[in-house]
Amino acid sequence: MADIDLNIAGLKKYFGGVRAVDGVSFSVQGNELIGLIGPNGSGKTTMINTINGLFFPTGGLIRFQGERIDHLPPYERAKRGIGRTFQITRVFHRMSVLQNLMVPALAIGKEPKKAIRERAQEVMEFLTIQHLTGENGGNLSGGQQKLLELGRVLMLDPTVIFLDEPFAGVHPELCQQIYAYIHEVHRNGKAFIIVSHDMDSVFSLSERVLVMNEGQKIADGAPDEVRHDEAVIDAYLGDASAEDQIEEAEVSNSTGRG
Amino acid sequence: MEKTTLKKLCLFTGLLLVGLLIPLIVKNSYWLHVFAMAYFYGLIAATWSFLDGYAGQFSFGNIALVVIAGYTSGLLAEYTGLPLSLGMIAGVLAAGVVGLFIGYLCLRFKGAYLSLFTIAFAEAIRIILNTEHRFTRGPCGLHVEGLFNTTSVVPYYYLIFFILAVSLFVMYRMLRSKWGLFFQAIREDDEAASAMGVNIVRYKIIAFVVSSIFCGIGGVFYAHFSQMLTPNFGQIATMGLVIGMAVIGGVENLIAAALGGIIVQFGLEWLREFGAWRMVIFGALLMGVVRFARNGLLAPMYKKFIGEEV
Repeated sequence: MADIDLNIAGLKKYFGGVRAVDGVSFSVQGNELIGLIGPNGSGKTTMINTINGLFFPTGGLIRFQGERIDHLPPYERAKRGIGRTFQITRVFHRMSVLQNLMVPALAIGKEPKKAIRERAQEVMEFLTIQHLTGENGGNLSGGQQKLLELGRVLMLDPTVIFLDEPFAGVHPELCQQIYAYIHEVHRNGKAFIIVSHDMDSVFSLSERVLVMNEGQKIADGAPDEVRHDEAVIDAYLGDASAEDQIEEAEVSNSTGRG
Repeated sequence: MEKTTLKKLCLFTGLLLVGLLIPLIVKNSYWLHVFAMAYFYGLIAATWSFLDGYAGQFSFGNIALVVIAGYTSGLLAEYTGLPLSLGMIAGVLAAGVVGLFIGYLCLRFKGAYLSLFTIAFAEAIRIILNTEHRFTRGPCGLHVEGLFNTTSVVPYYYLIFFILAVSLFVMYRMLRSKWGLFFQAIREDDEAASAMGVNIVRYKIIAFVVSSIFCGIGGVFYAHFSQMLTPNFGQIATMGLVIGMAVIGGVENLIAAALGGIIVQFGLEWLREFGAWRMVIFGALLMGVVRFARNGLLAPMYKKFIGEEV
């Protein structure tokens, strides 16, 4: 099992007067599978962007494997083992599927080119996109692009993987496929933090759920605890559909769906 | 040997042979001069393809770098008596250093902002060279010594042909290495590339420096071939011509962009009897290519014949 230690302490990211992330603290120890939820604009994606280095924090500390990384650019954090996908897929459109997969592995430079090609082939087979090897990323369907992004992050071979809305706009059958991939990669010792508005997926997949609202962490615990947390229910009040989703997720989990 | 490798070998050997044989067939020094200038433009179009087509850095600075290299070599010879070879090396280095400087300053610029920055830079260079006429001879032109003790164009023809072939080979090898993939990833989405471990600062600067060095090599050749430098060679219209050449050939294919430069320059000379209308024809062709053939006219042919991109 990988020895994973990601520590976020008092993380802040302000945009002028907007406190997108406002003093969030949590840690990831070992290969946890964490769901990250919150209403729109609660700061989930901004927090991922700040941890991954696309944004430099306004305040707070990020330590990974004991080293402070909040001053490092994204590529240095990626090399240290922090991988991510994007809310709206950002595959390299005018590069082939194979080239998309080779970029991260070549960038971290741990293997010779031949071994990278072989691993890319394995990843494509794992994600069942091997028939698209030479196709340009931009020609793939939305779901296939989600798989390609997942493949790209696997080629980076990180220890902590942030998936930003991996199920958004994806056909339910493909969602099941993505669940299976996440479980398999997780079994191999990777930690996941999955951001999703799909409560059903988050509550059924995660061992632990973090909830954000207005830039702050309002809950952190096992899915059963979080589901009944007053602050979480309050945060979602006024968003009846979300409240319904929490209940629906509870029902579907108790009936074994997902 | 793989089929694509064999086809590439055939294509490149064929082009090399044709290039080597031309002076044996074409005896007219005017047309040999046109060929030499066409190769020069082919080289500069290739440097633009390298920088914009692969690394996505839309710069208007290439011709300014040609001018900087040419003037550095010419002025050093004029005022210091430095041997020509050292002056030429200094010219290439000057272009590389300025490219490094621009690359560093433009790290955070994208699209139109990068273009505007490099337009301003190119215009500043042109205006300085015009204004400091006591030192540069300004619009009257700086006389630069020739490289060969002959009036024949043939040595220059072979020199620029050799420079073009070697430059294309070196840039091609770079683009076929991991650098090429990183450049393209930066072109597509630099934030995503960085999140995937690509050091975007290093590779953007590498793209600028490599492109600038080859512009510099072209620049010192141009200076000593034309033997007369004027600041107006560095005007935006010349850069527009280079961009048009690369776009017509196929900006995302180094070889096609270089061939675009050669063919367009040759075509413009061939159409010289049409006067200013030849530029109208060129403009119409460019508009048609931009509208109907996004990756130029030659790049798709290259892909069809070879079976892969550069």
